[in-house]
Parts: sequence; C-alpha cells; structure tokens
Amino acid sequence: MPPLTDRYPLPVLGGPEPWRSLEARAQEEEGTSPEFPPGAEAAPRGVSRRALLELAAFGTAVSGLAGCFRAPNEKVLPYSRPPPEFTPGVPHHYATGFVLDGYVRGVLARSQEGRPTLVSGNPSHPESLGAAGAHEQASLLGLYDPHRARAVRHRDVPTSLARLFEMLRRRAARTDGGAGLRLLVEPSASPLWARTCAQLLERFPEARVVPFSSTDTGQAEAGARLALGRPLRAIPDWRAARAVVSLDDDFLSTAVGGLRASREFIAARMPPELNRLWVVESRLSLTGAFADERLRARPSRVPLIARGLAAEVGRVLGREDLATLAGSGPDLSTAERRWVEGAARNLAGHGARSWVAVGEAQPPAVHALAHLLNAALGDGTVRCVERVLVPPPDAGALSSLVEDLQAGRVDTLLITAWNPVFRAPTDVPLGAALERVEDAVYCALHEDETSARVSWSVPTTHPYESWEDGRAMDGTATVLQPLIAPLLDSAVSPLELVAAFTGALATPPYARLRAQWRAHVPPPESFEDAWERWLAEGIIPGTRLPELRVPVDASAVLAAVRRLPSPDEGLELHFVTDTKVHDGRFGANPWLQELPDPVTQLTWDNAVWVSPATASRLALSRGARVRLELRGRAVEAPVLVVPGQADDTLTVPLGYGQRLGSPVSRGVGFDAQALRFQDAPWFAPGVRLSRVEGHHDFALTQEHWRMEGRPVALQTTAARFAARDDSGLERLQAPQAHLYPPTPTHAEVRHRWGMAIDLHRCTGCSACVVACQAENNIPAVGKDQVRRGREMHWLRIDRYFQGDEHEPSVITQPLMCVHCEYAPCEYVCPVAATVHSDEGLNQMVYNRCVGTRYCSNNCPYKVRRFNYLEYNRGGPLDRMYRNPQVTVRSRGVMEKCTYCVQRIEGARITARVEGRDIRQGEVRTACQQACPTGAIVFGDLERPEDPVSQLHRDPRHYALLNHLGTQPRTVHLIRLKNPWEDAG
Amino acid sequence: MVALPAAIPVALLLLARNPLGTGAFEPVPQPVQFDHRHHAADEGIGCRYCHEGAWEGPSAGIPPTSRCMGCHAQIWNESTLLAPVRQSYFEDRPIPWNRVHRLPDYVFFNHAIHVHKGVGCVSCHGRVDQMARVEQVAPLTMGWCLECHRDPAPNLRPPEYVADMTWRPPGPARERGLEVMRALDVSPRTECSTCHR
Repeated sequence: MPPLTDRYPLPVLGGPEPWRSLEARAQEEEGTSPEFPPGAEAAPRGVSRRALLELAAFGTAVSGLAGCFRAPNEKVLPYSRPPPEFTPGVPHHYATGFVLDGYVRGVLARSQEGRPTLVSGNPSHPESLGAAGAHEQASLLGLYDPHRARAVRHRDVPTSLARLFEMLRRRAARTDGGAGLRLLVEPSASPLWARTCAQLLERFPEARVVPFSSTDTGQAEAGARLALGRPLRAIPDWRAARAVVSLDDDFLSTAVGGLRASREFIAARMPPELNRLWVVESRLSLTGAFADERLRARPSRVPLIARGLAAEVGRVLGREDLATLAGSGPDLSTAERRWVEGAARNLAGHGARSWVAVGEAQPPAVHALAHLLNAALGDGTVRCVERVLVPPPDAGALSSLVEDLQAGRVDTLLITAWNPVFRAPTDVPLGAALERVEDAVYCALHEDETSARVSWSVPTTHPYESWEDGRAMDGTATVLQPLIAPLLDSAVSPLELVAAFTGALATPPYARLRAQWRAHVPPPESFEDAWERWLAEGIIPGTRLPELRVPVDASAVLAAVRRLPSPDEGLELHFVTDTKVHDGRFGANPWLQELPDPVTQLTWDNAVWVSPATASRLALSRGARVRLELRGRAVEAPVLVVPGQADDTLTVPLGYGQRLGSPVSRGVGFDAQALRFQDAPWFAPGVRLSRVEGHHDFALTQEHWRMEGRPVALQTTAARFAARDDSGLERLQAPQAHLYPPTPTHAEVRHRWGMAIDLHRCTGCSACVVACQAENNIPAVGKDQVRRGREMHWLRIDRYFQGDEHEPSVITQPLMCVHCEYAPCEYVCPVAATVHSDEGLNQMVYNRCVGTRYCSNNCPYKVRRFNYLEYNRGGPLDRMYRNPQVTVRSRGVMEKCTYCVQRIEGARITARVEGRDIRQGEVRTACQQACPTGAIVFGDLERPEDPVSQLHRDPRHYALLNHLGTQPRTVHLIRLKNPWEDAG
Repeated sequence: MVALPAAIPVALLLLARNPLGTGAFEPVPQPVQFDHRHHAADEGIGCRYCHEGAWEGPSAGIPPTSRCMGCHAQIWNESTLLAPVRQSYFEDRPIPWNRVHRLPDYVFFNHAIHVHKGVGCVSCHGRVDQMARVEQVAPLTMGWCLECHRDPAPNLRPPEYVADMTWRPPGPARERGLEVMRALDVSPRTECSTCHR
C-alpha cells in the first residue's frame, strides 16, 4: 500500500487552501493552533462522573439487596373519550401555518398523543413546497417555553382576565367615535385581521390602527409606488432567470419568500446549464457566499453601483435615457466598474431571462430603478402582485402615535405587535409615552420591555394554540388551526381582545373565521366539506392573487435616481436583521440562539462585524470591546473580524441585548437598536468608534471539529469541471485500499441505506440543523458549554473560506456521520456500543455506551457528540416537545447521526404490516425533509433507480477523506461556480 | 474475602434475570377490579375488541373509558365496583391504571408488526383469560426477545389465530411456524437499531 501522502496529494482540485477563520489561520501559520477550544477538558463541577458511577453502583447494590430492585410503578392513562381516528403511538399530521413578517408559510405539525412534536414544511403550500426554515421548526420550542408570561397584570399587580375584559367593555362603550382609541399591530396579511380592523374602524371612525414593523420599513413599497404607480410587489421567476443581480438582497436566506426563492433559484442552477449570480453587498450574507461574482461595497455606495449598472445596461441595450445616468455623480472604482460592466453584459445578454433584485435596506429610488431595469430587459413591464398587508407598513406611523400619546389624546391602546418598546427607533420615545396611557394593554408571550411600560400586560396564546388565518406573499390563504389547547389558563388570543371593540366578544374566533370564509365556497360544494378540505390541505384554493403586468414610469424613476445622495465617507453603521433571532422575537428560543450563524458561526451573541482591513487600520481584533457613538447615542459592543466584509462598514445584527423578557434572551449580545434612528433605519454615516477596556469571549463554533487542514468541502468552476481539468476528483471516488478487517457480508440484505449531499445546492441556511435537533431530541447546551466545544448538534454546517481574506470565496458544507462502510469508531469501542448493521448503518446503542469517548477520538470526520453533562434535565414542558420515537440520552453517553433510524424502522414496520417492501422515497430523514433546495438526498443504494444511487454515480460525487479507506455511505457532490471570466 | 466482591455482581446479574428482578408472576392491583377471566373467557370478548391498537400501531393500548361504558351504561350500571369507571366517564378524566408490562425507555417495541407476522397474544402475555389480575408471565429481557427473533418458527401461528388463547398447532409447531414464515414473509431482525433508536 502506498503511503498516505501519495494517495492524497494536496490540493485536491488546485486552487487556494481552505481556512475557517482568520484567527485560526494565523495560529496555524505560527504553529500555536490548539486542537480543542479552551476549557474543553475542564471537569464538570459537582459530583464527578466516576464518583457518580460509584455511588450508582453502591446504590443499586444496596437497593437490590433490600429487595426493591425494580423501577417504581408507572401509570397508564388512556383517554376517557378518545378523539376520532386515534391509535396510541401513531402520530397525526395537521396542516397549519407560521407567520413571519405578516406572511404565512404553510407547515405540517406532527402531533403525538395530542402534543405537537415536529414542525415541517407543507408540500402543497407555495411558499414552503415541503421545506421549512429554522424559524418555523424552532417555533415548536416557543410553544412549550417554560418562561412564557402566565399572569394578567394591572400596574404590576396580578389580576384576572375578567377584570381586563370588564375594563375593555367599559372602554368599548365610548361615545367619542374612538378618538382616544389606538391599536398598535404588526402589518398582517390575514383576511380575518383585515376584517376585524375594518369593523373596528367602522364602529370607531376616529380610532387609528397603527402599523409597526422593524423589518419592513416600507422602502420597497415606496419604490414600487414610484416606478409602478402603486405599492405592488414584483415577483421574480427564478426558474427562468439565467442571470441574477442582487443589490444588497439576501434572497437566499430563509426570510420571507426565501424558501421558495432558494428552491427555484437552485433548480435553475443545476449543471450543465448554470445560471449566474451577481451580488453587491456590504457584509457577507448567504446570498453573497453563493454568488459567482461578488462585489463588496459599503451600503451607501450600493445606489451608486446600481446607477452605474443601469447606465451600462442602457448603453448595451441602446437605451438613451438609462445610459445618461452615467454622466453625473462620483466615479466607480476599478473593481466596481469591472463588476458593473460584466453584470450589465450578462443581464443584457439574457434579456427577459434575467432579474435584478433589491434588498429592503436600499432607498426607494434603487427599488424603482430595479423595476425599470427589469422592464427594460423584458417586454417593458414588470410581473407584479398586489401587496396584501393590512395596515400597510408605514415607517412614520409610530412617531405620530407617540405624539398622540404624549399629548394625552389616547386613553386606550391595544398592542399586539411584538415588543415595540424594544424595537422602536431610538429617537421615538415610545416607552415613556406608553406610561401616559391610562389603559394600555400589551398582549405578549413574555413579560418584556413593553410589559414594564404598559398598565395591562396580558399573556397571549401561542399561534399554535388559537384559530386564525393568513396569506402567503402570492395571496394563497391558509387557515391556521390550533394544534393543542392553550397550555396556560390565562392566555388570550389578540383577536379576542380586539373583539371587545368590534362587538364580537360573544363570537369566538373560530366562529368568526368560519363566517369570514363561508362566502368563499363555490356553490355546489357544501361549506363543511370545503372547510375540512382546506384544513387538511393547508391551503384555500382560488385565493392566489392575479399576476399583473405593469409598465414602469421611466421618467419618474430616473428623476428620483438622479436625486439620490452621494455615498458617505468614513465609518458607516449597517443594521441587519439577524439570521436567527430575526428582530429579536426568537431570542427566547434556545435552539435558535445556539444555532451557529451560517456566516460567522457565532452562537448566543451578536457582534460588530468589521472587515480585516478596517480591523487592522483601527487595531481591532476578535473580542475587542468598542464603543459606538452615533448622534449622541452610544452602545458598547464586541468586535468580530469577518472576511468579505466591506471596508469601513460596521455591520450590527438587530434583535439582541434585551434587558427584560425571557431569561434565555436577557443579556445576550448588545442592543444595536439603540443606534437606529427613524431616518436611518438600515445604514447611517458618522458613527464614532473608540476602544474600551475588556475582552469579550465569543461562543464561536467555526474552529471546533477541525479537519486539520484537509480540504473536505470542494468547489471548482463549471468550465474547469466540464473540461475535466480536475483529475484529483477521481482519486476521491475510487475505493481505496485499507487495513480494516472485512465486514461480514450479508446475503439477504434488502436495503443499503445511503445519502448524498450536494454542495452545489447547499446555501447554508441551517434549516437542516434545527430539523435534526427537533427530530432527534438534541439538547441546547448554553453558551458556556458551546465555548468549550460541547455543542450537541449531530449535523453541523462547516463554513470554509478560500483565498484572499478580503475577497474570499465561501463554501458551506453540511456534515454529519457519514456511516462509513469500515467505520473507525466501531473498531475501538470496548463495549460494542457502536456497531454496523446489515443495511450499512453505523448504529449507536446508547444503553451500552459507557462513555470512553474512544470512538470520537478515532472518528476522522469529528461527528460524534458526547453528553458531558446532564443536558436533558427539564420540567414537564420539556418532556412534551420531545420526539417519543427517539431515546433521550443522559450524561456520559455518546451520540451521533443515526440516519433517522426511527423513520427507517417506522417505514419498515408500516411496509411489512402491509406485506410490501419499503417504497422508494418512503424514508426521508429530517434534514432532507427540511432542506429548501433538496441538497440532502437519502435513499436505498440497493435500487439503481433511486435518486441517491444516481447521485452516488454522479461525476461530481466524492467521498470525504477517501484516502482513509472508510468508504462513507454519505457522499458529497462538489459545488460548481460560474464566474464571468469563464464565459469570456 | 475474595469471594464477596465477586459474588455481589453475580448475585445482581442472577437477580436481574429472575422473576424477582423482572417483575414476572406478580399480579398487579388496579384501581378498578377488572377481571379478564370474566370478560375474555366467560363473555368471549376478543382481545381486539379493547386492544385494537395492537393491530394498528406500536402500542396495544388500554381501552378508553367510553369503551367500558358501551356495555356498562346498560348492564351493571349501578354496581359500586364500577363507580370509578362512571366517574371517569362523566368527569372526562382518565382511569389511572397501573402498568403491568414495562420496557425500558430505550426499547421501542411495536405490537403491529408482531401481530401481523403471526405472534400470538398468548405467546408473550400468557393465559390472560385465566388471570383475575393481570400479571407479567414473560421475563421481557433482551435475551428472551432475541431467542425468538433468532428462531421465530416455533412461536408463529396463522394470523387468524393470533388472538386465540387456546390455539395449538396441529402437528409439530416448528413446521407449522415455517409455513407461516414463508406465507407472511417473516424475517425478524436482530440489529440493535431494530429496537434501540
């Protein structure tokens, strides 16, 4: 056998070496890089494991001798009257929806004995198409949150719902036409809410329904009004687009519309015909990481680049009006010019099969310009749908509400928007103004900053506990049905509070909802039948909005573009919605807090992102504490140096630094909202940065589970791959010689399970990580444990940089146990707790494991996780969300990806009871089910026609660390990029 | 003195496999004096009437109170012995039965597959129709499970006789079992993840 170095020459595919972080790369160059994070070996406090075992042995012996050897008696509680179609142990699935930023995404909830235990995507819903993002899946944990508000309080004194409704009825019996009545709500696409608001305004014409959203600042809407005359929403056809330009738009994230966008965009990107993605952005986002040609620019420079792009497109297309945009204004840099020229030629070359997308943070004129460009590239019109949010987002509405509050014009205020005091712009003193309202009612899941300022704080029902409806962005309506009776007696749904003012208090929301939709049924069908079908399918047919083709008012757009201000100089502050906690509303969710940010791999924190160049200019390094000052407001925050960040741009994720609220979110990170002013919601010039004392210790997972510099996530360009330039790949495909003893062959194996992960499809959105966590009862361990490298995620997403630290190329790689044919872990286990199954699974038998950790030591992929502490302690609510089909592991036990063996065995039993074989595609792992882009495929390698078998034969496939001869059952497929130079 | 440290583990191991350790042959008292002898044997009510879950899912289940009331709303509807049943039904609160057959939390047993592949109720649960109070008759240890998973033939019967408490194979049990194995495509698995997930 040749030596390893001969069998695995580096680099595999040519190109620069991958690296995980600047700091780790520097340490490796110095040779001081530690294998494990600090504190990894620290013994737990309290009773040590060994002492515990000794005590346990002693206890068992004593109690055994005493004759009480057996576990205590257990009760079995059958239903007194069972629900229909119920079989104990067999889960039911219910279609409902999850609302984010006002729009619904269809989900299916798995319910076990009446308890929802998993949220996954609804394949019939157009916004989900069967996929589910991290937020939807983690919403399950929000339902069972033990820190939810429990008591109705009036001026901090516990009171009752009856007293609250007494007050509401008194307030509703007003004669001022509602002049003193206000509602503060999130814009919502729910028809029931729209109707409720309309009814309220009908009864009280002087009342106001005030919209508040910290993510939708109305810029896209204003841009549409400018270009199209109406606040429409443009709908891209990702499947058709061959060239896509994103101007600061993170459309591949799992934010609103993202699941569908990423699925369709990636579907149009599969070899041999790749589309091309051009991104200009200020911080490295998932979309930027996926781009073929990425340009980094400070946020205030993006309008200038957009303008340059329009001028260049105008020049190529021969559109005089567009081309004249080039004349005035500051010049583009060489890199910008190169990017703009390439993008313009690429866009113009594909004409109507190209698309320009703009992010919400950009000013209205840039949105309008994109509409103009899309129209110019196509047939002169833009495909649009109406916006359905009620009330429409209005950034100025909150400050006029505060004026009314301060002037004492409001006596009754109902707040259903999530924590507006925390999210309000820093120059809108909502908190202080709320204290002036005699009856301000705040309906929320936690007692937070807003609860502390209002006279009445009311616990609300979780969305999974009440009836509502909602619409997706394309208008498709869904009935949101409750999955469980309210867990708290005192919780009340926001709709019921508002009902006090619409005179509908006597009618429960369920009846109102049915009344609302009764008219929608086409005549021959009965309403009951239709209703049952809508609930079962999760969509109401015939509710999609009609597609409009709207011409663009070019002169208005061009005039607005000419008025755009010049880019700013100096340091610039850049706010972004956080990938995990969004605007803070998911801060109380431990699964999301512990999810590593897909780009920075940061958990339980936010940070000021700075570019390597800016960091070295200002002498900043990771963890340095700085004070940011803007117009007299200041915050202190730690610094994170992020490759690919635009220079002189300080990116601050919103949603952290809560002072009140759930103990999970309290004190995590810093509050970037304190620097966010009304007139600068997304970026602001003139920020002053100064160093302050101290150092911040981040819980970063990017340097955990080191691959020791071996390139495991591979990418090359489509052109090189097509030309077969990379002979290195063949060495990663052929089985290698090895010294492992042969595995016994099983003559009658019916299935050989295997998996394929296509890096070309993986955007790194991390939906799979949360899916795995929910399905397999994986605990969140907290910041301190993550810092020691003890996070329990079976599935991690590694993010590698390649090349230059300023303009790195990025690749994300989902990695979990690859189920080696010759598994190194199996040979070293002294108690046979990890053994191979006949169908090729590397099984982990928890009840045999004694916790030597030899297996983890011997695993070259670093995919095994050890329960250093008892992470699964918890109250009765914690027991409710766990998947009863998977063992809950305790302290001292090793665990890892099982290929969702509970689903394999479940499918086997179903199939064999029916006297058939498992069908192709019948077993889907949790990660596969969640993935919006179909990057993860699981199946039976014994069937040649199974998609996974086809992927195992794909020329792009490779085995991780193939030279070790482990023969993984999971193969990865290399990612292809489609840079502009290649096309020539 | 050397004998004692060695003797304790041996004694514990023996105990764990002994009825004293496994809990077998101990009638379990219940909140309602439900007598299987009367219901299953005298009245001839089949297992499936109450424990239909065994044919459909992992758990055989204990019937809901409404099932009891199906008959006992009409007969013995004033019996004091049945007071807890009526109370459960009218207050819509479950009857807290005591578990008789208990597996550890890391074991996932499924009734449906066993029932559909010809394992009789009596094979694991014994003559429930002769028990005043139900007791566990099998050790329910892993070794006991594996014995049958490795060689199921002697314990199989045609599926139509699964709930029959008195069925005896005509002729040698193994040959009858082998026929069932062929007919039902019985292929028991002994991989760890079959039961431990």
